[in-house]
Amino acid sequence: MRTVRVIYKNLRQRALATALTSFSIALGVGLVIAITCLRQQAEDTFNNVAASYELVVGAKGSPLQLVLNTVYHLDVPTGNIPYGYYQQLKQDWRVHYAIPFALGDNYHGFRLVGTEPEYFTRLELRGGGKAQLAGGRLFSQDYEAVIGAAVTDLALNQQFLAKHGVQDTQASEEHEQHKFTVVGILKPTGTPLDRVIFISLGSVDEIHQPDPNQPIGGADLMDALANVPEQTAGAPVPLTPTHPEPRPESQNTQTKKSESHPARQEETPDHGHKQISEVTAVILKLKTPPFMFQMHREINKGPVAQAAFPALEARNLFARIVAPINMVLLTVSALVGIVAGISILVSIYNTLNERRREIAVMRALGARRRTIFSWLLWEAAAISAVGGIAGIGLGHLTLLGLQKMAYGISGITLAPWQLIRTDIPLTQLAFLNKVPGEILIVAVAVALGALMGLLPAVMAYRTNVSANLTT
Amino acid sequence: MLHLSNLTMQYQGRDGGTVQVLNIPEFSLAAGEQVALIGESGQGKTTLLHLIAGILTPTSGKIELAGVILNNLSEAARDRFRAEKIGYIFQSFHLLPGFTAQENLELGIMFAGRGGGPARAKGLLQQVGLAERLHFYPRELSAGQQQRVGIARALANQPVLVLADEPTSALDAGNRETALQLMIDLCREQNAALLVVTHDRAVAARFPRVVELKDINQL
Ligand SMILES: Nc1ncnc2c1ncn2[C@@H]1O[C@H](COP(=O)(O)OP(=O)(O)O)[C@@H](O)[C@H]1O
Ligand SMILES: [Mg+2]
Repeated sequence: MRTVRVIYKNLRQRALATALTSFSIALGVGLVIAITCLRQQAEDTFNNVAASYELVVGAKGSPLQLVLNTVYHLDVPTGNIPYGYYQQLKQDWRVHYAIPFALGDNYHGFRLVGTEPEYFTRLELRGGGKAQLAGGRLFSQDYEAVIGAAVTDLALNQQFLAKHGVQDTQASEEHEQHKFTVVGILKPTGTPLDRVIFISLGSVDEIHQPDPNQPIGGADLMDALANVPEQTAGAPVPLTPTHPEPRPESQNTQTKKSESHPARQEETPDHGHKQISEVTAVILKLKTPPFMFQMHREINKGPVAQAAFPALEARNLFARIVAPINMVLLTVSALVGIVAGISILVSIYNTLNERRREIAVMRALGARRRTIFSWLLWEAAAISAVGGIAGIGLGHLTLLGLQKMAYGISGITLAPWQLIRTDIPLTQLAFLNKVPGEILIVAVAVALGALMGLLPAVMAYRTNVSANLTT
Repeated sequence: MLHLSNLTMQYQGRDGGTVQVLNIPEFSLAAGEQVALIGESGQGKTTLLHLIAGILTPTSGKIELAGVILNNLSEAARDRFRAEKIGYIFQSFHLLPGFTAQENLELGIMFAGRGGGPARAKGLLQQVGLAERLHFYPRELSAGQQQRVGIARALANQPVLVLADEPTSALDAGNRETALQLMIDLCREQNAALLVVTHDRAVAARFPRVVELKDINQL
């Protein structure tokens, strides 16, 4: 008979205890795996999404908040910046493209984002692709909407009324004036973009100057006033008081821009009877990477706006907020693992009393002390291995269970069966990075289990054969 | 083949003193010989068998078996020696509950480091009339059947000496006779010497040589 079979038989003899102990190991391992996968995939998605954006520009305040709002469609805006500032950025010779972003209302909690069709034609999402239509067309006039794939509350050609604010609350009333019509639906991108309702810039009420010819509407006026910065609304504002880069072809335009621009009316598109005076943010791509840093510096020096690097903010977010939370969660799951490990000890230890006779009989049949010792260690390791492998399944099944919820909340698509990428910073252990994290976690669990088997194994080793044969 | 000389055994008493159980100046057993050792309960029969099996170490004296002086061996070597040379039959059978009849025999063969386990186990179980019960667990067997597995197991490792400790006292009359006969026949066939200890004179009467423990044990 082979040793494996003996161990299997010994475990089967106490099937319930074995199963319960294995299950507790599975819980610990599953928890560690689920948390690690979740963190890793969230971080990957965050970084990937951030990588689609070089630089975002918005009202002064927290750069993280600006990035969260513009890139991840979370949190509230830092405020608005003048429309003219956007135009100025767009015309800057270093800028490859500048896409405006205006946050207004919501529909059932899905944000309405006003932008230009460039958002779809120029912005490259993760994987290098662009947002594509699954049906319908892009908006071509005001009050037409293109919805992300996760905006399941709306269908093509459906009409809807938006509510004030970025969140769906009881208090916020519906806009009475304008009904939106869904004209296009985007394909799923697996990014927060999927939860957004895109509309033209002109459909965002909050960024308009009230039309002097129209009777003043209460809520809109309040909003407009609250968001008007100190400068004259709509007036172009210089990037910086002094421009360090000599621009030979437009020396004099530069100086002109420091003053109030007389040509404002022509530059500002006229949407119906209202005029766009502000945007929430501008998504910038520069012609070459060095300009990124230059623009970042210039904009932040100036009094009007701030610029933030989404990639940097994403990394900071993870380092400052997500990583500590992750540590806490991992510590909790490690504790679950340790408790499970101790349960191996307790479980084998408890069976030891009834097993002394069996061990004595085996010894009388010629089994050596170290054979009995190693069998107990193998038993403990086997319980952990079974629990560990079940834990891999349990962890990934947890992700499968969370998939829908995670997509609904954040637009992030979890890959429930994607293995953990091992990322050990130590060069001596770098060879382990080729192995999926699951294998390493189970290996640690098995080693821990065997360690827990040590005490009962020593006690089995010391079994008094003669005394236990006669009792 | 088995030779004991000046063998003494003292147990540590609870009060710190010692209790002398055995003092055997001389006892021998020839190869293939079958002997019944008769003694009342508490006279040290089990202790003697444990000493011969190397499960206990004597306080003093010499145990020589198959040309090897057991006292000189390390514990691991004694375990190996026991696995290869000795078969043991217990009063209360002591079959391993988690293993089938056949597996109980295979374990003995495994400990002896011998191959051909399944075939030999099957053959022996057939000889004790359990060909139909190879894969039964001990709890699925009657007392008589369990002891027959015990007898077959004692011979599984091809021992030179089988030690039987009150092998029939847990059995009823019918099973006692069957078990006794199987033990005697199988040991003869397998060329194993047989030392049975018992308090039952009827059992002892079945053996060509009967020794009173109190005659060789001089306390
Ligand atoms: N581990 C022990 N410690 C102390 N005394 C023991 C121990 N084992 C047996 N004895 C004593 O040794 C004597 C012989 O016991 P045993 O060999 O079991 O006798 P038998 O098998 O003939 O009934 C008994 O008096 C018993 O109480
Ligand atoms: Mg006894």
